[in-house]
Amino acid sequence: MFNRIKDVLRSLMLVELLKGMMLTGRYLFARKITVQYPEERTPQSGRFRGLHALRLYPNGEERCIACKLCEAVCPALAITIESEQRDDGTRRTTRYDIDLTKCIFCGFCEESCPVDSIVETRVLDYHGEKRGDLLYTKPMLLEMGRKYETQIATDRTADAKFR
Amino acid sequence: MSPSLNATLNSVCFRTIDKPNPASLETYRSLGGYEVLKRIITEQTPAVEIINELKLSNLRGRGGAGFPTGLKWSFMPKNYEGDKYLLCNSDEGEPGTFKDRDILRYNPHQLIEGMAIGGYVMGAKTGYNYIHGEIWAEYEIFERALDEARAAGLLGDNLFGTNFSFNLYAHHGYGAYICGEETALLESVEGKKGQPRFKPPFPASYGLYGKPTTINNTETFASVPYILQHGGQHFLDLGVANSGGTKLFSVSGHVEKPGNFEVNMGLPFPELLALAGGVWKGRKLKAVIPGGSSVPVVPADVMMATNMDYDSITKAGSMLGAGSVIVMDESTDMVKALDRLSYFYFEESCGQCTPCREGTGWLWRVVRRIADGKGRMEDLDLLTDVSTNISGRTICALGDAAATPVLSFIKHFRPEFEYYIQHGRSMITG
Amino acid sequence: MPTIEIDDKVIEVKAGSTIIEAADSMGIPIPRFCYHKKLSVAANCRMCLVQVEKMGKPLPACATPVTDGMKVFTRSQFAVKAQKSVMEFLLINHPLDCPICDQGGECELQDIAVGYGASGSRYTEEKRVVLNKNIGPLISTDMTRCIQCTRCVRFLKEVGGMMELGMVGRGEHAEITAYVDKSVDSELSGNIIDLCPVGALTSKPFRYSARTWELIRRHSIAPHDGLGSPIEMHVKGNTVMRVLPREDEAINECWISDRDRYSYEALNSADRLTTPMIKDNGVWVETDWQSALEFAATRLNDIARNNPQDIGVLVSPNSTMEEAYLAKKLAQGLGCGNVDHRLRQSDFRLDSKHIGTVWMGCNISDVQSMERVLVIGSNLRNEHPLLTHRLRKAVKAGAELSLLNPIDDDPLMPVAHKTICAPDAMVNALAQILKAMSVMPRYAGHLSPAVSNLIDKVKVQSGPQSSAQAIAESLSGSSASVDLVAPRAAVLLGNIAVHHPRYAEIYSLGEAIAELCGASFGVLSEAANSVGADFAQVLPNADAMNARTMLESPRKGYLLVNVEPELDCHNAHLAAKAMAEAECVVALTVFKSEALRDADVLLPIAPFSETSGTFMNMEGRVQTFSAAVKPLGECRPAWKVLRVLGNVLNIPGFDFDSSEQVSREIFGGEDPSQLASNRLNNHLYDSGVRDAARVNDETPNILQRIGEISLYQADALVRRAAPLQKTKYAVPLAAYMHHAQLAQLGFQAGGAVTVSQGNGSVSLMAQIDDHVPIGCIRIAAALKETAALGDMFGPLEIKAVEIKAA
Repeated sequence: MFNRIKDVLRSLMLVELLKGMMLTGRYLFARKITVQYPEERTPQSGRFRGLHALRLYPNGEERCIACKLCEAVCPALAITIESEQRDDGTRRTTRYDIDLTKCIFCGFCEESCPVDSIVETRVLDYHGEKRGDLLYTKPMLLEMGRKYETQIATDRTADAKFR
Repeated sequence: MSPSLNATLNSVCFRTIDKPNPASLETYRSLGGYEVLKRIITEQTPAVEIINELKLSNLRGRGGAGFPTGLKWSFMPKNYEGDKYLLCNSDEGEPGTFKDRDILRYNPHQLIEGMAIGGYVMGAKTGYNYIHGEIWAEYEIFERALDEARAAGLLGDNLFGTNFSFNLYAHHGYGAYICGEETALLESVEGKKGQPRFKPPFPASYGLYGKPTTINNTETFASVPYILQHGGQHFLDLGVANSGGTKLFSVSGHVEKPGNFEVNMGLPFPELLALAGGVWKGRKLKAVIPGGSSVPVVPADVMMATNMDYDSITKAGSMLGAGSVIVMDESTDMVKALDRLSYFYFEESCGQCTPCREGTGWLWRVVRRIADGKGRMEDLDLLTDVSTNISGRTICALGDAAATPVLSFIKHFRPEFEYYIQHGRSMITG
Repeated sequence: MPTIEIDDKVIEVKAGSTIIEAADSMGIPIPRFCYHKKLSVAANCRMCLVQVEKMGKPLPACATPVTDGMKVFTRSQFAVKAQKSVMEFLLINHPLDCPICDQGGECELQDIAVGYGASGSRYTEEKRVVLNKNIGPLISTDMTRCIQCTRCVRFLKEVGGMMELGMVGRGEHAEITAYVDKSVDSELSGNIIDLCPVGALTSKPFRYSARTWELIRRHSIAPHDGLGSPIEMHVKGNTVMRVLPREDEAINECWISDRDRYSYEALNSADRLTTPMIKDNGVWVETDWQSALEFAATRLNDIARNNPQDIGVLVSPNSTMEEAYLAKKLAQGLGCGNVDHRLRQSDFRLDSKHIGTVWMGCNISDVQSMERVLVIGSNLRNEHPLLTHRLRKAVKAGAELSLLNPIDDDPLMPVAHKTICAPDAMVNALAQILKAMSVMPRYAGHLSPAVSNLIDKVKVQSGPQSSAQAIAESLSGSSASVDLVAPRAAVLLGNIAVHHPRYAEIYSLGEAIAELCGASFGVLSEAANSVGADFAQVLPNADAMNARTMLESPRKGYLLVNVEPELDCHNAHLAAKAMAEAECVVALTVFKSEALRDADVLLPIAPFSETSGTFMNMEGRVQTFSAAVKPLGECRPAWKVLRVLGNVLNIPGFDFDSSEQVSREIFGGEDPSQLASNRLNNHLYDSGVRDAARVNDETPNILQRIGEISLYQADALVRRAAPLQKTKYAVPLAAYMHHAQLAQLGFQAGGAVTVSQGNGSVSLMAQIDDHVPIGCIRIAAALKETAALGDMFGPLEIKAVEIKAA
């Protein structure tokens, strides 16, 4: 009986509403966390798995040795590699395509790579205007590698002790 | 109880050593040489009688394994149609071993007679003596002795007017240690690369050119004429129980008078050491390898209490082997010594089977690293483990031979190794 | 039979077998590297160490014979510890370069390391590096990876017949190498790639091009010789990347020849014809199938309407049964009986005398158990690389091999007796063997009058030099080692015999010899489907023209199925001339070929990898295969092309929807192997040829040509397989002769000579080859450089080229 009266009084005094409004009010004056993308960016982990790149050695030699482990491990079958013996006798790719429309960014390719060649960079905003634009070929991936090498190298070094 | 020294020193295989021109046929004949051969051939002594005499004498293979010779000779198939071969293993290449060389140098005819007797007993018409590649002068002496024997009608066809023929040839090796392994020796005589065969089949059923073959050590063959001349019992009595006769000991290392000493089996080690003039410069004895580099090393105190016969040395934790006594005094750096021994096996492994081919190099590199002052504590366990992994898993005994020194050196002288690892320098030489 | 126990399972095994054989038969896996069931036991890898009860040491399963009551443990702690320690030793010096190693993914070391290797290495010292060897254009080496199992060494010695690889150096310095500056030249060398348990020996043409897991395996049959080895084509996308053997104990055991292994390189060569082409006023124009077929049909029809016998149909003996059969059916539909597949044969006197289809007379697997073999006219290793291995096995087991040959090339096995004579003396040599045999008491009583009549004319040279006597004795059972009353014997004719201008006499005398001594008799058929094409009656009708007469009296129109006339026919000069003079040549071809320059329409057909079909091999085994890849470009399977051509020509009975329907028609719906066993027969209706044999000919004092087909020139595919053409077998073309012959003719070795046959002549270099008998010059056929010459065997003229003073 007593409880019944308490409930009725509570509903008349709009206690629940006030509680809700209090929460709203608290956030109204709290510091905002909305990020104004693209002008602002959220912080990224060094392990972020974004757009792919093929790395090169400092002397400009490509790292990839066409072992095709990434192709084999790729669960989305997004990677296509063709290989041959280059004139200097080394094993090299003649074709290295990643179909980003298939890629699920799982990072297996990077994990399987014995020479740290294929990596996922922090780049997450890229687009294509035609469907074919998202088929990244070897020159495009190498260019990515060239462009972001410093960042890639820093991230890998930082992560090295956990690998 | 040991027999008197002076009476028996150099009495069997080195009988001719004090005579002028010891290697000549004349000298050997003056001691009754070739008479046993003539007797058994002309009297057509049954082979089984000779084998029984050898069994009585308890002559054991002098090449290292110590297998009873009489028994070995009886394994040869008797009614085999076709060629049988007799081989003498004079390919002594083990560090510390140099006894067969002196037999070839001073008493080749006794070996020739021994082999001819073997040919008669086992029905082999052809024999080869495989002589180590690094002793050319002795090879020439042996070839001269063969010529003498042939000219005197002691080798060749229809000996002494009977229908028994025995032709003996010398075969010069090229210095590979592995060719001292009997099946590798067979391959080498056949003109192939010296690599051991896996056994079975044993040479007695599938030997040289696939024919029944018996292989014995030089000293074993050279002991046979003496035994048959003086009787098996006499020879047996020269030694002690289970180790009949005399034995050649090649004493080397830190002694005043290194050399070969033919003494009775069972001689206490201190007496042998005394024969060799004692430890070099009067220093203290540290350790002895009693049977050639592939047997375990024995520390001084144990060795000084041991007699030189098969059973006693086994009891001391080592093997009599070929009787190659390597004496090491207190100034010996055991790590460096092991480095040298391991390098020998690394270089001499034939490369046929995996554990030895890969393992000997591994052992040597780790020991070398320790000797270079770059060792790690866990290296000692690694060495032990790798050695254990090699032993018993190879085609021939070279794997075991390479592992044994490592195991025994670390077992007995572990502190020296640990000192090297901790201080980067030797405990002994600083 | 001893009973043993392996891992608590009891099995009864053959006495003398080894533990590993017993375990294999029970399906118990024992890791191994050096052991291979077809090679001798080496016991050097030590990977197969197992525990045997009452033995203190682990024993190698491959080299330990079983004894009754033996108890073996392959998975006990003791055994596994030994196996793991060996694995560690193997891995310490093995490079960690699996990512760039072609063996990666199909590597025995890799596989076994998963089970027996540790996750990390305790070895921190320097690893061994071994320099690579260049052992030829077929095999690529990475010797650092070698684990010294010596399978390759043993293969080349035991199967290949010549020890071309060996292990030099001791201990860690031991390495596998060829002779100094020599390559591995065995015609079976590719098998060491399959044998190598690591990536030390890999395929050079395949190098770095694909991974094993990307490849789809499709079954096929090797199309180069009469053996018909079952093969596996490894396909990526629509390309055949490599060829590996399939195992069939009855045919190829587990090997294939290099010809079968590397000919796939031609399938993707730039020479492939991919669109139909028509020659328009002397210029080749690409066109569509419709126009090409209509063009071909109209032209053929025009000729046929006038006189069907003006058409000649030549079919390659490497074509499938379906293709050959449809070509024959097409010709018959046009009313023409001139069809033949025996392009390199020149003596057709036996036509219509055969009771059945000619075959090898025994099973392929029987060859190794023969005790006496006479091979007539065969450069064995060149013609039948893998069958020669069976013969080698027989000889190793004690068989006596006798040879009657015009060239003395080494078959890499001991030859008991041989007669090396000029081609035209071969008939006489055979007659001598027959005569020597006929006077033996066992046979003398029941000679047929024909044989008696013939051998009266033969003079046998007597004395120890006479190999005829020795061969006869050998075949009939007496020998240096073991005399047998009825040895298992075989008389086999090789390609040289079949190409021989007096094949009929050689055949009938060979048959007579075999019959007399009870040997099996047969022909080692040259091409993949020689027997099959014979069987399908792809032969001229009675009184129609055969492959030779069709060229001798040129036809107005030719239909060529997979034929390069001047390279595939007995007389290159005649073939080229006939093509040039014909009004219309319709060629179904896989390749754009210089030899088809005089064709009028080229119809692109699919090679064996792109079509389904059936081959019948030399032992009459019917093997059907399907396409491994889709036809390239506009190519179509030849049976489809012929079918549509039949439709366009309005010939009835050409409504096939599949190659199976065609083969069903060939075999009349019956079981092919049953039908084959009914129809294969090497006997002759009558031996008139034998009676009329010309024997004891005084060898006329003229020079003769020995025009053999070199190993890698045998058919259109191998000719275009680039890696094979780089091997030692691509012998530089020259006029090879005995050094005495060279001296007699007054030539210098290396000097230029002009060789003429009929109207054609070519300039060659004179070279010494003492394997050639006096009176003969060895000049390879099936080459465009010698296409101006005539018969493969026959008289020729040779003179030195005079160097004109400037």
